[in-house]
Amino acid sequence: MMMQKRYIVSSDILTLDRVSDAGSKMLQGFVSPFAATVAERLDKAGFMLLEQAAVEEFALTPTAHSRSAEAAIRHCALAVVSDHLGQARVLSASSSLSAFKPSYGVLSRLGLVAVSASMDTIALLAPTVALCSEAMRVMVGSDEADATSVALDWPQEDDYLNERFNGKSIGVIREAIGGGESASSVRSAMEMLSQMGADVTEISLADYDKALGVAQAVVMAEFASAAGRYDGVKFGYRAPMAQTLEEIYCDSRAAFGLEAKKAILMGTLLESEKYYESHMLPIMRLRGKLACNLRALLKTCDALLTPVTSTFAETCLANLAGLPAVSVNWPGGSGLQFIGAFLSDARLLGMGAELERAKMRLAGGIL
Amino acid sequence: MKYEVVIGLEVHVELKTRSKIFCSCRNGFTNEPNIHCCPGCAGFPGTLPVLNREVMRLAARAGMALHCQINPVSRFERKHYFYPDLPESYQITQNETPLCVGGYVELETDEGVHRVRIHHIHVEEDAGKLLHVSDDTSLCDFNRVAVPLIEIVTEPDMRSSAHVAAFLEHIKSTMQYLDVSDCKMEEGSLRCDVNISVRVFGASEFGVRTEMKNINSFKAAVRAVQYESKRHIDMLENGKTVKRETRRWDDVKGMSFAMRTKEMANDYRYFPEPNVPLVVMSEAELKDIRQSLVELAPERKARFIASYGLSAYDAGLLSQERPLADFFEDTLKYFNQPKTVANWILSDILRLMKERGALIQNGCITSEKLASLLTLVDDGVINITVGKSLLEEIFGTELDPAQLVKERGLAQISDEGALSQMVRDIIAANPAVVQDYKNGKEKALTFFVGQVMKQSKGKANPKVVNALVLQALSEA
Repeated sequence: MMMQKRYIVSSDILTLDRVSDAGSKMLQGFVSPFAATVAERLDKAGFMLLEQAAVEEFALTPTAHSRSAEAAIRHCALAVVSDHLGQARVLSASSSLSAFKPSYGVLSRLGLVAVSASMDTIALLAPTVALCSEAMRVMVGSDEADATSVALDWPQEDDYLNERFNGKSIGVIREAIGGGESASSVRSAMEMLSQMGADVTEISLADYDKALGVAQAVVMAEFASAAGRYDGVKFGYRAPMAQTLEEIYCDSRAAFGLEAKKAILMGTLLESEKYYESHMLPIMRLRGKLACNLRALLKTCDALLTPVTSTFAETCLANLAGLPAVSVNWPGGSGLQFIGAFLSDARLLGMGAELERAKMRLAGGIL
Repeated sequence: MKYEVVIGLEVHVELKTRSKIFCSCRNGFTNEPNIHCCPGCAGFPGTLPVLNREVMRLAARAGMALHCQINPVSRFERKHYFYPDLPESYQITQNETPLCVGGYVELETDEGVHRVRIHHIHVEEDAGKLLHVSDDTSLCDFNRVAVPLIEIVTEPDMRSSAHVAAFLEHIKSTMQYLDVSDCKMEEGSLRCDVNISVRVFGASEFGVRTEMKNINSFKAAVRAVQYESKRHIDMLENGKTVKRETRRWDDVKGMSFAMRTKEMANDYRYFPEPNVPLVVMSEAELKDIRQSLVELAPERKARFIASYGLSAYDAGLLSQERPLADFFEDTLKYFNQPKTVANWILSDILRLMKERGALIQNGCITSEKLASLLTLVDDGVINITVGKSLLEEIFGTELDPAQLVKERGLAQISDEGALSQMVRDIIAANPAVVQDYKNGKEKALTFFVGQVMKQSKGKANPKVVNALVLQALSEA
């Protein structure tokens, strides 16, 4: 199947000659002197940049990449977006798109406007998983400009996309199943996977109920730090009437939107002397525990399965632990997410592709 | 009441790596603003720090030379505050895990050896510079942002301004010797903050300390310590308490002033830098660095005394700065008379360097040329007066002494035949002076020698002339 090599990029990923303002007044009119590594690699491989889609300020909310999603559907093309809590995957719950977040470090973060350095990744939204994987092939590879980037050899042939569920073991995170529509989506999927020959078991993730809080705390603390550079001094917005240094700082930074301000205030508080030991350190330890537990679970099964709702509750896990995750829209109004072991990106995309095929067969009444 | 002054220092040393610590901008002193910058060090969005490994190697070398323990695993952290010379509004530094811990420096003082312990040395990036052009306008220069620094923090072991001066000299000499830094306070590659308090002699507790900033020379450091200790003592003697604060030293006025603390938030919100992985220095790497440690000034001085028979004073002067010490020993390779070479360097070359503002390391004279000149004198081809005047001429130029001697026919006349005729002529022309000599006036000898030198236009070999005159006078 010939894929047309075209892509959209969200405006928090830097390109040349276009305004990359990350949806923020603080970066109004900002044109970057360099392009993101991933964009350069796509361009070099013959992908055509169609448009830079608007994003909600610093992509802090679940609906942040709605414009990128719309453009991806409209153009039937790939969208390259930011993801620190699951921003790409949550959109696969409410649209027809599939989404993929790679392992942390697999895609260079150079040129990604930083929100939360240890949670940030470049992620993909596309009509099919296959289109995501084609882009991955040209974008992977360590980048000496990103010290956290890792080398990952991508399979030469495409047959990794022909994954089958027969003989695979899938662990379903019990605490994530929830209730209502998402629960029934998951249960129907579990049934289907079993029929396809997978060994499906419910497993428990300790502290699941705290994961979203932990993830949000980490993001806020790191964002408060990353956002310090938006100070009205060097680029972007400076309050026009500001005279003194204090006015330049305070009046300019008053232009942050509400979500950004909340994040900066909370993040600053969490990192402050008063609350660091009592709040932030326990949060960081809990993150470590969750990440360890997830990785341990992934030693016992090929992938973990969760629903994807309209919040970051299920998607934040992959960001907390730096793991790859793929999600596909599923009948019932939610999405389905596979989380894989670190650096199992290609194989996980294969499982996502098979899930897409299963969905099509279901829709056509075949199994 | 007798008071004791207690001083600790925080010394910042700029490392002379080719590139900055977290980006590949050039690390070098310049007067043109904002030319050594890139989106990375200017705090642009979407940029990432990549550690320049050479920074850690130089820092470890410095730490080893100061007898520190090197932590094989260390981590960078972010220190947050807002100021226009800090583009990212955080400085990447080391807080909980500095690269080097422990260590000491031994100072030679009049009272003997005084040890100053080092608490730790950590690696960090520098901030930019602000130029205040008027009351309401300041300009930012980001050239200095992300220049690699080590911060050497001492224990409060110094007790006088003399200790402070000696410590700073020692650091400067050591860092230059190791090729770690130029340590030029006037260029900002060495900076010093002083922490000072006083207490009654014999007291076990420390007094309240003040921190002094804006110290821009070794002399200023000495003056600041003298002023501030007196200020503390005066306050205590008048029943007042010293306020714990940061003060700005004004070297022109010779006073310190309390700084407004408004721009400095005290809560730096340290947390680990997520973009820079843990820095791990392997056993092999550390071993390599240890082996690259060169002999430092004190050891070199001792060796100059032992191997070359130089006086302590001369050895000290020659070994204090590495380029000069290297120049001295390089010259010996071609002309192996240590005392002669030492004399020429200490009396003439140092003077010429000062007069003409030249530095040995900028090649004002090569060791081969000096050796060549000294050989010409030693072989008797030219006399020492001609030698010294040639030195003045070739210093700071491309001229070659042997060439000049040839071109100008400067070779001295040593031929006894030619000279003895001159001697006989002078003696014959001055019978009265001959008589003076015979009457015991020894100085008459110099008159004759001088006359022959004059007659030969300075080219006669004075030793030969001296001998000939003596002989002629004894026969007269």
